[in-house]
Amino acid sequence: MDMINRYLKAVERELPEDKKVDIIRELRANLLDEIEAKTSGNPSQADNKTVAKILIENGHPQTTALQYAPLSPLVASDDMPLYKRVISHSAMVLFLFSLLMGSTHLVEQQSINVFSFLYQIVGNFVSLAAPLLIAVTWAFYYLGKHGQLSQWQSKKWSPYELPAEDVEMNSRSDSISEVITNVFGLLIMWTPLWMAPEVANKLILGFSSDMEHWRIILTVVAAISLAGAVYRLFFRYWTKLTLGAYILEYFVYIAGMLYLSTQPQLIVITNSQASDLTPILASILDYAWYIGAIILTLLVIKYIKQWRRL
Amino acid sequence: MDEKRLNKLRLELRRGVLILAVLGASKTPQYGYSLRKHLIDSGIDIDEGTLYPLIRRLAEQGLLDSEWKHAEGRERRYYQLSEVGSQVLEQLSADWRNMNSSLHTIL
Repeated sequence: MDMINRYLKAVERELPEDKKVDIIRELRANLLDEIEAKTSGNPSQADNKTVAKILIENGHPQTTALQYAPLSPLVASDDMPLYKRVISHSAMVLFLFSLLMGSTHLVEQQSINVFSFLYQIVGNFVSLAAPLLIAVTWAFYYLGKHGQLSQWQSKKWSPYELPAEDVEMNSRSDSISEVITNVFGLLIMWTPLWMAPEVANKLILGFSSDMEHWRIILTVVAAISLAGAVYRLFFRYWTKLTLGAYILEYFVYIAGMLYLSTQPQLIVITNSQASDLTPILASILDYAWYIGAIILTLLVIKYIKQWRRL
Repeated sequence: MDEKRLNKLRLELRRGVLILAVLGASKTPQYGYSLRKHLIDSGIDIDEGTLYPLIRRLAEQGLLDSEWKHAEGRERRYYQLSEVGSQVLEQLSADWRNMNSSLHTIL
């Protein structure tokens, strides 16, 4: 009897509070019936060996508790594909955000430290990933419990709306890198809005006075490009219109780069102690505009070929 | 195929059938052990760790009624098919017979 009591106590510890009394009461009755059957109707005469055999047959206390009161999964297996997609998309957005935070931290530094930059990105990502994982899992648990996910997943769809077999799809990694580039560009262009003047004054690099004229134009271009990249993240099939707009965007960038290469530089050395670096920076930026324009031209050729296939 | 995988397939095959067997065997009041014995005597081998929690689940779903009774200085929980359970058993039995006859032609 002592062994049965110990077994029941072990099972009880694993059970939810509101079910303990009822389940243990029933389990005790069932075990006594099993013992009674093995001892010709006299359970009190059962030796430890017989009781142990019955308890082993019944299962490990933890297993028994789980069989009587199964735990409901946080995410149902039917919802798993959607859960994985939400987690991976959220992780991408989080990484983007961490990269931006790391980059703004880098801009504020007086010297470039690669390890500090990577540490910032990884640190930000890890500290944000845990609450995100908990929030998404909780949302799935809550919505799954109330049947809202299955309702949403069984929404009507039409086979007529399926994309063509040979549909051209945009690259998700390209869209993500474009989102990052544009957001970073906007942040850099608008440093006066978020960077303290004393920090900005300490920077080696800064914008020339011509930037005041260019800031609005470049902001509009970057904002349109950002909106396009975000749109492509969600609508991944190319159409003649969307790919055409994308090619047009590239033409605008190429034209802008070629024009800027003929203008006074927008980025200048602002620290007087580093003024001897001015000619080096000017030649680097000149080459940068040309190289950028060449790379974008090659990409435009590729996209025009793709556009003709649509 | 190795024994482990075969046993897993057997388990999947038996899972739904066991519910039908338990409902069918609960037309008269049964307590856990008596129901198990009844099933074993009918050729359906089921271990206690599977059967007893299953009866509780069926009762929670309203397919079985339950009642505690005292006898011979002991208490036992008796289960019996509820009204809803009887309707479900009837439907499931019809489905089983249809499926069984279809399977006969295939196998």
